[in-house]
Amino acid sequence: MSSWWMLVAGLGVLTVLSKAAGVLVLSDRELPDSVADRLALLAPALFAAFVATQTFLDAGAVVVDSRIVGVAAGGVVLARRAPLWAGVAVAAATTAALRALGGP
Amino acid sequence: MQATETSILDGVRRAAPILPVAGAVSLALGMLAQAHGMPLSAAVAMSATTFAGTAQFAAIAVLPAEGALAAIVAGALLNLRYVPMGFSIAPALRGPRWIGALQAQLMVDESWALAHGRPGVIDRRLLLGAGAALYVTWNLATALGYSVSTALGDPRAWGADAAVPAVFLGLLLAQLRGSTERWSAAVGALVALGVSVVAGVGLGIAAATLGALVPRR
Repeated sequence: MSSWWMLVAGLGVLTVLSKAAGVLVLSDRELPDSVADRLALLAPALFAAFVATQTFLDAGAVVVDSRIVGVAAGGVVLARRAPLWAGVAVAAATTAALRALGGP
Repeated sequence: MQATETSILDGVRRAAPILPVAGAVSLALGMLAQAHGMPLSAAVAMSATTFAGTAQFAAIAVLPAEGALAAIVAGALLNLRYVPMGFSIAPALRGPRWIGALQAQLMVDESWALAHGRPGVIDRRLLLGAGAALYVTWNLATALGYSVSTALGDPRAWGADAAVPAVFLGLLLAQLRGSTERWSAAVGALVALGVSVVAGVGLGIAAATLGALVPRR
């Protein structure tokens, strides 16, 4: 089986189980508060990890290029409560413009 | 006298404004898959079974350099948040467990957020409506993005590699409710960067889970 299909199968199974875990396990029990609390912090930690690695890295090495300016511009717009599509458009357009001007 | 009840269509309506963004992101995903040499059938199957943007992007980027296992680990860790989210929607999905388990598959960050009806309460029909609309959009766009990938040229030229992190930056900002969450995010980002340059992005994202251990403030 190719690596790609191993990925699809492996990640697929784990994702299906992750999303279904609550329904399958719950009955009338609930997660202890302390566990639920820790799991809830996974979202900001991992989202931030994803944003950081996608913005600053390229194939495992730090690469400073136009993405950083684009994401920062999008971030400013988003922090001011603009809708998601506006932040994304600003990020893409800024990066595209910098590259059109010869930037990395 | 009947109080007005939400319908599945209400869920679809709520999702409508973000469908174009989700479609664009999935389009980029399809293009990324094609650029990395992923077979079209595998890319489509992945969007259908691993319905989760961050995990798919990370896994597809990690696999060529670090192999399937590292890619699975990176993706699975990014999806771990669906465990507590899945517990939060379970009370709304009463009935036979296998049906609830299937319905839970329509949960993704956006549909989960949109499914909150009365404050703090998950509405099953909102989840199903928003989730189904996003699911269909997501899968179609992956296939489309892959297919037109070579025709659209270099995604970097139109800033796609900034657009994707921007989407998740938007989702991240919505998570930063309090100072504990902000510390989690800061630790997660810094640890991910530090570990990634030494040991690869797969392990970098794995290590970022340490961000969930910051003490409550």
